[in-house]
Amino acid sequence: MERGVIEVRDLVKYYGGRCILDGVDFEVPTGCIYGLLGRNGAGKTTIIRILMGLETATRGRTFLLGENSRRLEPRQKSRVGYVAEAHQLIQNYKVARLVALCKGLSRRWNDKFFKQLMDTFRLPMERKVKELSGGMRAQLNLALAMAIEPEVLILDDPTLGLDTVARRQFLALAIDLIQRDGRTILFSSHILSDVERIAERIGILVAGKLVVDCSLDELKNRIKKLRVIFPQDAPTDLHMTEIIRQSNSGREMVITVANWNQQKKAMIETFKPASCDEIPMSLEEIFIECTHPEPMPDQI
Amino acid sequence: MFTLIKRELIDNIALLLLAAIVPAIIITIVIKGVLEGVAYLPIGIPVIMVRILWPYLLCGAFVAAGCGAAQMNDDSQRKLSTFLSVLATTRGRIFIARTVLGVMLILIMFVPLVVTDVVLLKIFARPVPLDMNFLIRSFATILATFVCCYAIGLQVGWRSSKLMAILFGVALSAALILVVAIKGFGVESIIILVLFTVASLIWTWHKFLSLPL
Repeated sequence: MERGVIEVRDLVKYYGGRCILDGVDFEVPTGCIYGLLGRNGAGKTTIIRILMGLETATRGRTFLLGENSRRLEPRQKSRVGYVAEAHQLIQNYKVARLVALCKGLSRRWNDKFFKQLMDTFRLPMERKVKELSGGMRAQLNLALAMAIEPEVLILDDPTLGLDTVARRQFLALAIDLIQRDGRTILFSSHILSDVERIAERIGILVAGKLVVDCSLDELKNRIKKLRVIFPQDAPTDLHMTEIIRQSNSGREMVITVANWNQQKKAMIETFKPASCDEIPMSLEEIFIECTHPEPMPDQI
Repeated sequence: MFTLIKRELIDNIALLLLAAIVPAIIITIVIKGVLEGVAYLPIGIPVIMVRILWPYLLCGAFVAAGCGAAQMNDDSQRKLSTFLSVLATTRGRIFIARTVLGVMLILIMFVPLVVTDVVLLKIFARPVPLDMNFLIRSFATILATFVCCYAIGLQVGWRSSKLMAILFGVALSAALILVVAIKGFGVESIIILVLFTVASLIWTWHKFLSLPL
């Protein structure tokens, strides 16, 4: 994989004295599908808006296709497809007019592919955008973004506000479309199952800080949740670095640890536990562990 | 660029119609006045043609300011630039397309005045040497006022309320018209108006290129 189709460097953003992003730093290599996770207000949309040049950073820089986001030329923008949160299309335009506008402004528009998408989605060209349902608007937005055959696709919570059926339909089509040509994709969502289905690499934002930035497999290997049973009451003096969460109940201790390794295992064994079993974790459980409101561990 | 200009044209067709109605009404009044009987100034120009300059200036300036404010406010409310600027274009081009429409709008208001006055002069002017300098100064001042008011409209248009944006634009235009009233139709007024226009356009350009969309 090459470096840096999307690069975010030491990004800081303040809104009215409130810190929204606090030194966020990551990159998405060519061909990678990057899932950006975070609770509402964690700063996902702000990062994407800065990347797309819609917002300025207080400090730090972002690069798209090697160019500073603030200075993106139409040549570079024509290679980027963007599906905005809440599908910010021009509401009082008819679908046909919106399509003509996007087509007129694009440098490479695949008409055949677009028509194919419109047929699949069954979108009415003569209806106004505001008259479309949320699901149809999402589909239209995706079709417009895909028709330019983008090298980079940025999806900002594209399924937000859709019902379960519409969300599943949208994702099924989106996954099929975006995985076809090995595109670089930045996909932000707080619906973990969506991200888990397509993302290769994960970033988790907590209160403006990127606390996780690694591959999905690596994340699952690095964060372990253990149930440790001791012969007597669980010790209260088990001190270990990078404990994400720990709860004691009688002889049982449930502990979530980041960067699990042999040294940490050896440390637990010094307390001579009766048993030590790993509890399997889904991405959703890892996310909940990483974003709970108690003090955060250092970046993983 | 053509796509952006076409979009501005179609979206703002009502503003263009408004800009066409204003000169139509005023020109009708002029022609009616001339046909009822022509009184002349010593410089050989029918009085009605000079009297009409002030109402024309006032109406045109307010319409120009209102249109500029409405255009910008429409963008802010409908998030047009948010959508457009992520496509293969730049904020600079979006702004230029907007001002191209503004120029068309001003020309729609201004050109009929000049044409009507020239035609009427050909027909009704007394056979004495015309003070062409007076006419040129008057027309130039009117054009500069329209452009300046439009620029002011663009500057104040980015607000949450369309009504407030237009009212604010019109109020600032009234202040500019006072400058013309004090200095008269001439070079001094034109210089002040051009300075205001340049300052206003630079401010709006900078603001539009850097504001969060």
